[in-house]
Amino acid sequence: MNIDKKELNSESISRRKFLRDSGLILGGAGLSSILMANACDSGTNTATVTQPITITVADPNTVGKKTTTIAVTINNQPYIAEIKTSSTLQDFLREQVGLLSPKDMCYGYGACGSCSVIMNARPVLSCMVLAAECDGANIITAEEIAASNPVLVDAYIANHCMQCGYCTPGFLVTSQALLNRIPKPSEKDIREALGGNICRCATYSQHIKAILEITAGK
Amino acid sequence: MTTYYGIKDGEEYKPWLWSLSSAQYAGKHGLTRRDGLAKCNGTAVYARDFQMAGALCAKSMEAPYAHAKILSMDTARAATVPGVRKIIKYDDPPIGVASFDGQRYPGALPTLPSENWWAGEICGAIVVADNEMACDEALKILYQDTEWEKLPFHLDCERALASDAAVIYPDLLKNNIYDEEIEEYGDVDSALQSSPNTIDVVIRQTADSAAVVQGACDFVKYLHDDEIEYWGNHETHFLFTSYTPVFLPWIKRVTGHGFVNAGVFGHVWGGLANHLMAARAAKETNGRPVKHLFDSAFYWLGDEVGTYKATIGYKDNGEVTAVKYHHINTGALADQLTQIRQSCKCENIYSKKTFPCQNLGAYHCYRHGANMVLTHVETFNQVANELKMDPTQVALINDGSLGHDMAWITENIKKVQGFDASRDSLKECLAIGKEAIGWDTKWHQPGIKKLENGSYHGIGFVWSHTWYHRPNDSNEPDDLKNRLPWGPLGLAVDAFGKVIVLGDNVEQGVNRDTTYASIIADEMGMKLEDVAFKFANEPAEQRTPFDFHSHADSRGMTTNSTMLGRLGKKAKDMVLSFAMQPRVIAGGWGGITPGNYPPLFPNKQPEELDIKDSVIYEIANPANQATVADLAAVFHTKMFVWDMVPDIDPELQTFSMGRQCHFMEVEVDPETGKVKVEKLVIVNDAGRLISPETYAGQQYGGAYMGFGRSTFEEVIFDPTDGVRLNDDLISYPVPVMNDIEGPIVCHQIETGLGYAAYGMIGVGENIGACVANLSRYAVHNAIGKWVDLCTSPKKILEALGKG
Repeated sequence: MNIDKKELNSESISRRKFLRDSGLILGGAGLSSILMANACDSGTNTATVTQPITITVADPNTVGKKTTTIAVTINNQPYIAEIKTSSTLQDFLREQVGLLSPKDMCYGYGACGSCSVIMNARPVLSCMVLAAECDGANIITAEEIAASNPVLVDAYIANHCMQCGYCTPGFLVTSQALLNRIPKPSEKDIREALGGNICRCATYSQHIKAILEITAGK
Repeated sequence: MTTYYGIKDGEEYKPWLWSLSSAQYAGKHGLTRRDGLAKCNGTAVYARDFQMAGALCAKSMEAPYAHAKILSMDTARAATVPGVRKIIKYDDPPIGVASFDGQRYPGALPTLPSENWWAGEICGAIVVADNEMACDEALKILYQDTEWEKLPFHLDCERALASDAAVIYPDLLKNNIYDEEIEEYGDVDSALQSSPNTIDVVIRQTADSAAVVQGACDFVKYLHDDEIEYWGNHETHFLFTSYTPVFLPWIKRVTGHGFVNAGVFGHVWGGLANHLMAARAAKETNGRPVKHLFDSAFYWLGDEVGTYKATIGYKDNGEVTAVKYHHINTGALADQLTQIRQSCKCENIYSKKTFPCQNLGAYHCYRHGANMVLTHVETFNQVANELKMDPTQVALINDGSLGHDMAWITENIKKVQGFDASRDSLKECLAIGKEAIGWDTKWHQPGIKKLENGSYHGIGFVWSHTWYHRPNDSNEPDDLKNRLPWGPLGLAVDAFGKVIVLGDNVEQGVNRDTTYASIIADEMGMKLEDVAFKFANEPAEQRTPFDFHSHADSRGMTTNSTMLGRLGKKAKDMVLSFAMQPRVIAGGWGGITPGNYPPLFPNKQPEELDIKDSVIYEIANPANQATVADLAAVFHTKMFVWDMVPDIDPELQTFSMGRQCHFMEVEVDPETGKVKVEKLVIVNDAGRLISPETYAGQQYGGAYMGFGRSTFEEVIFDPTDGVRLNDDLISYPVPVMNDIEGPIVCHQIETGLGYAAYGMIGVGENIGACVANLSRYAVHNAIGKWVDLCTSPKKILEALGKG
């Protein structure tokens, strides 16, 4: 991972400066994608966007060296990222951005839900999405949900929705996406939404209980 | 009268009689789970999250056939893949020792052999490269450049024993039996001859997979030519540290570190194989650490695969008089008689255990116990069926332990050893469970109840003793003589008055930190937040300097709570002893002027003082108080204690008295064979609850896991080459939320009938192992036909004549 942090968490900048800097980095990259990355429904104020972080591929000389560049917002932070074209969103998040909540249980079969993230307001399996598809996307991971929704996290902890915990971020993401869509879900809604997430320790009953407790206002 | 650390005189070696000094935390609902936030937000570090500066990546070849030998391997092309640093072949020195205790069988460990014994086994070559992609690319080429000779194989344990079966390891054995054991209690043949009734039973159990959630991942770095340090994903430190020098004899010393384990579930052999490959690969990297990855988490089977044959003798009232088993299965790790010996009064029990050579795959103790429960519960449920009796009544008639009935145990064990003689675990579990499932109105004779929707209605019941119930537990009483040498546990008080418990790091997801801290806090009188843990490294010996017992969820609480309880009591006495000592302040610590100061509690004796909420106070005058932090500011360099599991007389903890029973109500669709769960009821005797939510988590989890194993988890092999056809989460489904549509109702009772501290009994793998057989009885009650495990729709339809 090679992150230029010189302006990380620095002062808000104007859209004009952001676009200028982004344009310099991206060269011919699509302007629309940059606009989208900052106007998507994350609640980010587009008038005071955060300075983008630039990421490059760390090991371009090995297998899979063909690269491209994307603009993407992750957990409300814009990134301009050079990526391998072969990278999945999961690879990108884990290996280049350093966000480890998207886990790998099924080895890229899209079978377990443990790598779930919210992409443009919808839950997706990050192992099933190429990073190159994320140009202009807004990504929310479990790191951000845990920081921004203490009610959900507290309910998860109180109800022991984890044992080994490997799948828990994926469940948290899927639950947040459900609550975004249906603020007061029924048990049937919960079962439909979380039915694709695998927990080998089988904490399923606790997830239902936690979400129902939240919606009941307990 | 009490000993110096608060245990009543004569009770030091009877931890079940200990009481908690306070009960502010232990047993209470709502304690914040310490590992919860990190496991929600992704900051909990698992092996595959870990990055080590300078580490190379390694992967090994996995055998493409069930049994084959490498004739030739050309590494030239694979070596040209960009990023590849080294390819280690099976015949490159140094070569490890490919046997364990003189024996190699599927499940024991090879060290990069040229002949594999099951499909997917690590063999042939290790590729070391800059990254995982380069490893994968090189391995693809290497498969193409390797010539194999396919060899005979067996996927059926019974078939392997046939007289005309090909001997698959002729260089090692004359036939396909690698081990055979006979175990007998009483006089089984005579008892069978005199039994008024006998029945013969045969059950066949197909293979299931551990399907652990994170493939093995180990980092190894050589500190010296003969010393390594490792970081790995595993539950058993002692195996890695003590066995590595056995298999790789140039290594003399191992220091290990653990991560948060990702559902390893006894992933012993798979983890160890991966670790050995990492250690082998790192030898070739001039000091650079190596991360070895093994993706095939599906290749580790449960250990119950095979055939179970039994002849059961019984009376007309349902009392079993004798039972004679022949177990032909892969389960060399398990002792099939444990459950029935521990849970019934029958004196006459015999088992011949035959372990055939086969090429199914490596098994390990993934939820092992299921085969032991099957042996136990099948006996009584078959008798109930023959007599058309309610199986819960047959259970009660036969309840006992080691050949004695419960009346004898009450008089000679409970009363003598100080247990509550009024408690009867099975009776209490049954009363709660039957009420919760509605047994008295729902149970019926097999195959007679069809519902309006055309499905069969069924209800099933299993029971067993609740293991582990002893602080120094092993499966059999005899094993106590040879138990692993558990190390001591340490505790220090730091300069700020925080209690630090020192132990090795085995994190299995069972809320260890909070649960253990609650015991220490209660015993010492500390606030829960003032108790923390530091995890120590591990030397090569079979013990850690400070050791939580490694099998953290199999038996961790029964062992570790006993260590923690006594350690906490001892630590409290230590703290109070310092409260009476003069304080000599040599430096200016904490703003205190150097000099000699009187004790915080001059002229007091320990029994005049107590601790609550981390504050020491005089019992007769609570206003006279000081904090533990005040004391520690002066004495922290001396505030350390250690203790061990008390060496309890095995004769005092032989009989099992805690029970579990579980009920399943199902609908079976006669057209599809699908089993729909209407309700699951899980009842366990916890002995004494320390963390109710953690305990319930084991119950809920065991219910789902057991249901999956019982009903649909089945490894499918290609009969032509022995390769597994379903080795991913698409083709090998594991239970998900909606596989159980009906409610799961969990109950816990606390009889105090365990031998661990405070009367505690373990729970870890009990339920998954027990429920793993439950659908057999629910389905039988529904359709009136016996269906082998797992009771897949295909087998159910075959039983109904529709296959």
